[in-house]
Amino acid sequence: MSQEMHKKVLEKVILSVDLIRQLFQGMSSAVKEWRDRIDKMNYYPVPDADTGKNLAKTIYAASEAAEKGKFRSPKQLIDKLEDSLLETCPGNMGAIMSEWLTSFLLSLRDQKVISPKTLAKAFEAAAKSAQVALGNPKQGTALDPINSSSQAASKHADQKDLNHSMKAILAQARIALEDTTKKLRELLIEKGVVDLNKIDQLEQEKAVDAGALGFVIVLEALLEGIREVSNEQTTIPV
Amino acid sequence: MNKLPFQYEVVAKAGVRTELNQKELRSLLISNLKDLGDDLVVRISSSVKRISIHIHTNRVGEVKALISSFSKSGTKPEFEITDLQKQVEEV
Repeated sequence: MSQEMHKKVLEKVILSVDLIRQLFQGMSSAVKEWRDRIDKMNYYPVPDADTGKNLAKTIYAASEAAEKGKFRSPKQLIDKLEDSLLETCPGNMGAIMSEWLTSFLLSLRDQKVISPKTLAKAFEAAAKSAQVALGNPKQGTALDPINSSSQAASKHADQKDLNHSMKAILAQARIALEDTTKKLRELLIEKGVVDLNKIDQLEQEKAVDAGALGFVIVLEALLEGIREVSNEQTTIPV
Repeated sequence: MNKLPFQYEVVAKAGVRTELNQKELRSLLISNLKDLGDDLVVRISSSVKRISIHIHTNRVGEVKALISSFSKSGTKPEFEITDLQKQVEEV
C-alpha cells in the first residue's frame, strides 16, 4: 500500500462496469502469476496439482466475459459474470471460488458503492454461500480464510475508512491461511492418499492448503483492485 | 501415493425446471448426492434454472442418472468425467 493511501480516509468506492472489469483483470493476472506455486501446494483433496490451473481458468473465463460484452450497468455485467462463473468452474476449488465470487457480486448487484458496510454484507453472503454449497465442509481448507475474512469484514462494517476495513480483512485471511498448516496433517490422513513421510515433510515445510492459498491470492488482488480504483475516485483528505 | 478413495471427478451442468427455491433444491441435491462420493459442490443459479455439480465418485453412472433426473425435460445435462487416479499418477 502506498504512503499516500495511509493519509486518506476512503469512505466508499463507486461501483461501475469499469471497476468490476478491472477487478477481474487483476484477479486473473494474480492467479496466473501464482498458478504453479498453488499447484505445487495441491495435496488436498486430491494430489493432482491442478488447483492453480482450475482457479486460473475460472477467473480468466469470467474476466474475458466481462471484457467482451457491452454492459450498460454493473447489474448487467454481474448477471453475465454469474453465467460465466456457473459454466466455467473446473475442479473443486474452481467451484468453491465461483460460488464465493458469484454470491459476493450478487450482494453488490443493487448497490451503488462499495463501503465497509456493503463490503461486509458481500463477504458474509459469499462465505455463507460457499459453506452451504459443500456437501461436507471441512476446516483447514479454503473455508478458513473465507470465514475469517467474512468475520473481519463484519467486525469492521461500521468503520469510516474502507482501506482500514480491507486491511483488516486481508490480515485475518492471511492468518487463517497460515493456520491451515496445522490442519493439513489431519485432512491428509483422513483421505489416506498421501503417505506419512510426505505428510511429515509438508508439515516441516509449513505447507498450506492450496485452495486456501488460491483464495487469499484472489482476495489480495480483489482488495488491491478496489484500492487502486479508489485513487481515481474521490477521497477525503484527513 | 496410495489409491484414491474416489477415482473419478464428475462435473455436470444442467438446466432445471422446478418449483423449489434455491435453498430447497440445493438441500435436495446434496442429500441425494452426498452418499455417492466426496468433495461435493452444488451450485445453483440465482434464477434456479441451471445447476453445476462437482463430485468425486466411484459411482459415475448413478451420479449421471441422478443429475439427469433433475434436468429440465427435453434437455441433456453436460458431463465432464476425469480419471483422477490417472491424473495423480501423471503428476
